[in-house]
Amino acid sequence: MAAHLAAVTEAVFSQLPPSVRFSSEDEAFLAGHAPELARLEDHLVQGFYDILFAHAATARVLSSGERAEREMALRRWWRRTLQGPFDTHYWEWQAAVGLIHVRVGVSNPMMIGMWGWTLNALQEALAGKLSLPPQEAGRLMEVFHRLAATVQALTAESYLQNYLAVLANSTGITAELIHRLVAVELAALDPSAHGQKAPTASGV
Amino acid sequence: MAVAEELNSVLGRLRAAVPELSAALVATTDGLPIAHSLNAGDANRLAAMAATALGLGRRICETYGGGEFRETSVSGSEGQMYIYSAGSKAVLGVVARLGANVGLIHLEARDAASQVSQILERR
Ligand code: HEM
Repeated sequence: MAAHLAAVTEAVFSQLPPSVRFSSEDEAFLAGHAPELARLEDHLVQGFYDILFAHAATARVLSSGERAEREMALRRWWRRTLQGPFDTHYWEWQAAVGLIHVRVGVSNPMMIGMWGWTLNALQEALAGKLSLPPQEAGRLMEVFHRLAATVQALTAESYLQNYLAVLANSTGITAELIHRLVAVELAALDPSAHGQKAPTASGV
Repeated sequence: MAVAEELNSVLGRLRAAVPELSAALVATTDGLPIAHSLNAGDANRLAAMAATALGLGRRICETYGGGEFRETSVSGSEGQMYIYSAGSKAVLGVVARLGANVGLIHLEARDAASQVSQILERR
């Protein structure tokens, strides 16, 4: 049984501070540039899948069918994003991607890594291929960063919530109990013992 | 009498009837301890584990068509833990030393689980 996508979407929006998430002004600004941005589709899709097919762990995920078929996922996403609207349906679809990714074996590091690449590729293309004035390009990149934060939050949170929902359903252990197990276990953990090395003599 | 007091007296009677028990606790199905009597150990962790075993046991029963889940046990080289369904909202867990009288434990603990269930269903 999957997590409720509407509930996941609502929870993510309530957690994201409004100033850091994609807004209606962002939507209007993006729509104004949609015709030029549409010209970047082939360039983005080519670069995105070149990277994924060149790396064993990501290539394995894409192994079924033709490359052109796999590319359709990103093409559809890019077209729908430029077309708008950014309504409940769009955001719930981004949450659904989390569920689709769990099913097909796309991890969050893969997804987040490719978001980083996409933002860099866009930044380069706005100044290069599209020759946008720096101010315009800068504003557009801010919009893309808020879009990235919102979509990544939805996809990653939905990935986690679906993972937990399936685990809860298959074992009969409620989500509340899973949260409790996590809390009990982490209460005994000393975070300062993790992720930090003892300082060296030079202090670096 | 408050619910916690009632549950504690059920656990007290259970431990008096079976002296080989080293722990007895009642937890919600979400893993919160609501009454416990332990010689040692962490009630929070034991409660969460008992609720986990209950959830899994219920699902296993459903999957093989075993009807309503009643109890499960975990045996180690030094002792055993028995986990009983205590109605729809709770679980009863008891820990016994190796060599304890299993028949007596089941007899007393099943009765205690049904008392726990009655106390909580009344609320
Ligand atoms: C910027 C990051 C990413 C975005 C925005 C994204 C977006 C999407 C979307 C929108 C879908 C659903 C398509 C539909 O509804 O039809 C999808 C599915 C899928 N994604 Fe992703 N994805 C990302 C990263 C990745 C990565 C890194 C991989 C591979 C390692 C991947 C592999 C897949 C696969 C295999 C599917 C199943 C659909 C198919 O290929 O036919 N995605 N993704």
